[in-house]
Amino acid sequence: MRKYLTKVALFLFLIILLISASASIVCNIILAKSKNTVLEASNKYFPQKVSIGNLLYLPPCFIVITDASMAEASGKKENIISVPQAWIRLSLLELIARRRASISGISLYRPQADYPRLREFLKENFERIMEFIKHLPKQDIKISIKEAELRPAQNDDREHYIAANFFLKIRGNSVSAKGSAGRNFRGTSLLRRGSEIKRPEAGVPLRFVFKGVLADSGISIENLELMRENLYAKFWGDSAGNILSLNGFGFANTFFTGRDGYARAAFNIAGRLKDALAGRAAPRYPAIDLSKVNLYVLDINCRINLLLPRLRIERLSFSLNNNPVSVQGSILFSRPVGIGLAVSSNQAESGKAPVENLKKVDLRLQGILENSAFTGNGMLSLDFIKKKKASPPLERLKLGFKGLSVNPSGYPRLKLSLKGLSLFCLTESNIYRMFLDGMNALVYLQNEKSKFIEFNSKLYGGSVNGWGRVDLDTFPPRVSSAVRFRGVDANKLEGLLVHLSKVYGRMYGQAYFSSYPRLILNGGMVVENGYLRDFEFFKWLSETFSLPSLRKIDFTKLSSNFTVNDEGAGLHELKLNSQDVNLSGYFRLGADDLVSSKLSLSLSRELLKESPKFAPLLRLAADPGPASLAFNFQLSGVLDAMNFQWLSSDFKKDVQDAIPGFIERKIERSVEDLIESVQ
Amino acid sequence: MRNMKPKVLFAAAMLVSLFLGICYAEEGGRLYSSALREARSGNKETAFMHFRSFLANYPDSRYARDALFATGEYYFLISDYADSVQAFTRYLDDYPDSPCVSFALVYLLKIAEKRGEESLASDLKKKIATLRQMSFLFRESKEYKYRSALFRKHKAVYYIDRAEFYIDGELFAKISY
Repeated sequence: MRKYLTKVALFLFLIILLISASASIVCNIILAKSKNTVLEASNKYFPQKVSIGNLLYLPPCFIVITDASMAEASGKKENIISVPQAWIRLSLLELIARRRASISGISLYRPQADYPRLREFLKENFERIMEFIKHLPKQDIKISIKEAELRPAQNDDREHYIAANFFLKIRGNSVSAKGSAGRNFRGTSLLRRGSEIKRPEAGVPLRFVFKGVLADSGISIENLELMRENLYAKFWGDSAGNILSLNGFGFANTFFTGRDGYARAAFNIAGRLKDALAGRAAPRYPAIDLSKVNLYVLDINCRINLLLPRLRIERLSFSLNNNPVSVQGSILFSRPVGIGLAVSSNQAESGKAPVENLKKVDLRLQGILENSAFTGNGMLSLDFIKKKKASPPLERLKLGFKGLSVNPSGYPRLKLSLKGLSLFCLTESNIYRMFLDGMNALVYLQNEKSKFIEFNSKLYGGSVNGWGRVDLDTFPPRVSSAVRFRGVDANKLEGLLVHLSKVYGRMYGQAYFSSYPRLILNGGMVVENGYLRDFEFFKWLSETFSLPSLRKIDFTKLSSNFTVNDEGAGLHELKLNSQDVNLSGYFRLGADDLVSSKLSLSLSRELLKESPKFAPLLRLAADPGPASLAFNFQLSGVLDAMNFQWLSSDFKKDVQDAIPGFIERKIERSVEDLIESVQ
Repeated sequence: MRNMKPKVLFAAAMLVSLFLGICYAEEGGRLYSSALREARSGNKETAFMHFRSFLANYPDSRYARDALFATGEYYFLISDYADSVQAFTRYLDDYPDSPCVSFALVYLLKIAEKRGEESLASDLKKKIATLRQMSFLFRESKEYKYRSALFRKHKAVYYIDRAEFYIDGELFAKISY
């Protein structure tokens, strides 16, 4: 009896095996024949060329697709994406009970994509993909993508790629997903770094966890977390119709430079098995080190209207390191991508102590993004809190740029060009303006802690070039810059100093700026073979003492060094050399507009002879004396009501020796009356 | 004769008014004089009370300016800075063209410094610096003097880059600019 039962079981097993084998063979024949049908179906949705290597059925419920790929329909027909192996799992229950092939899982192994082509494909077929997803049957499904490789542009190093893993599970209305993506290197090639030879650094992967609930009109986002060793961000909200509402927070350590050696970003069954057998725990990604966090983005509140292809940011507000920031605008995902954004940070509205003396920051950008390059116009405005003690008190700095073009293709070296850059600076007492024409700049972003810029531009008939550096390892960042200008029309610089409108000639000079250890701007300038026309001081001398020649002074050299710091501004080593007039000395303007100045003015006898008022004075001077007479004087007090003192000189001594005391007092009173009449 | 009557009455009324006015002025003058007498004798408290009474009864007198300065000065001497500020502020409002404005401002500056009001002190220094635009052609400095009703000698010496204020020969304040 027992022998009989064994025979029956064996027989039944052979029958099932035979049926399974037959079914497998039949299914595989059907699948092989339907390969073209599948390809035709895909062509209905996408114009790209889809190809499949083999289509196999594996009992009881798997379909394996090998060497699937999607290539460009025209041109070189290179692959956009290729999938060496894909497993489709059919629901066994549906298959047996309802005889219906229902997909319950999809797994893609080591898919590879070419990033530039994939980006173009997604951009061109975004609506079709969305349509395709919408038409998928609503059922429980698991989708996993393992060890995906996203390759950069063809010209880039092929050893370098983005490794990603992704897992999605839909069960009823519940959706959960998780995954990671990070930079990785192929092979085990070694890199020389300084004197050491090391393995290339694998990028620290960015991981994400998502949990949500499907609703009729969209999805409720219960939790979306982004994690990296230097980053943590959490969001929640919902998507209803076109509206995506999100709240959240995040923090980061921007000085994080990665880890040495390879990180295991990719999933590896053999490796995990080996680790498990050896009693080693699966590697865990370290959490963010809160003590090193330097960037806090809190209270994120946004409402985005997805009117595809237009994305309108109706509201986006957050606090960036305790500074409130709000963003509004729209992005049009067309070709090229259109961007219109207004970013604002108003310290005054926050009710918190402002960062340094910054009150408000406004940035407006309008332009297009094409081939990763931005072209457009914009404006950056910085409003400062009025300072009481320091001088010069900066109230507003405004940069307006036209024809801005930013090309990040050479990243971390950023190429930047501007058709025009207008600078506007408002202080308590003055407005400064300047316009740069056709500016080109290179921004070096490689160093995490400091950024560097080189620039050159046309400036009022001449040129300007220089560099700037921002050190980010302190807050506020330290800024330093050096500028050299050549052949600039001096009188066109009246926007910087109103008196320059009366100076004619080509100006050459240099300036250096540093915000640390104290705010300072200094430099020097020289104008050669120019002239002064109606320069205020000489105009006053001309009118008061009847010296018409002083209305226009041809000079061989006019030069001065200048310094602007938190104590004030000043011209020093001031020199004017001309045939009849020579001037030298310094002029400083400090806090509360207090002047400190000593000047020496020499006027030639020939010039003084023009004036009937100076004739008696000339008679008092020693004769024959020097060809010119020197008037040394000191200015002091508040700028609008400066005190004046005639300092001692040989000429003054001659005058004092020649006139009695009561005449001195009479002259003194006359001058006082003159000053009072001017006041 | 009948027409003459109103004219006589008018003239009599004018005479009475004039007489009363003279009496009133004499009364004011006497009060001010006695205040000065007390101040000269060193009785500052009594002098102050007379000045106060004088200011209350004869605010439009030609001596009111000096009496007001003296009250501000007295309050300062007894460290009653709130009332001193009030008196000197009134002085500056009522007599902006007085030659003693700089002295009143210096008192206010000293009070601001004593109270630690840095911003106010800075504003007052600026006011003092801009009060007179000086020119020194042959002299190195210029002096302005004022003897107050409390018989304290005030002196301001202006140089090209500073002003020094003395009271009874002692340096009271120095402002550099």
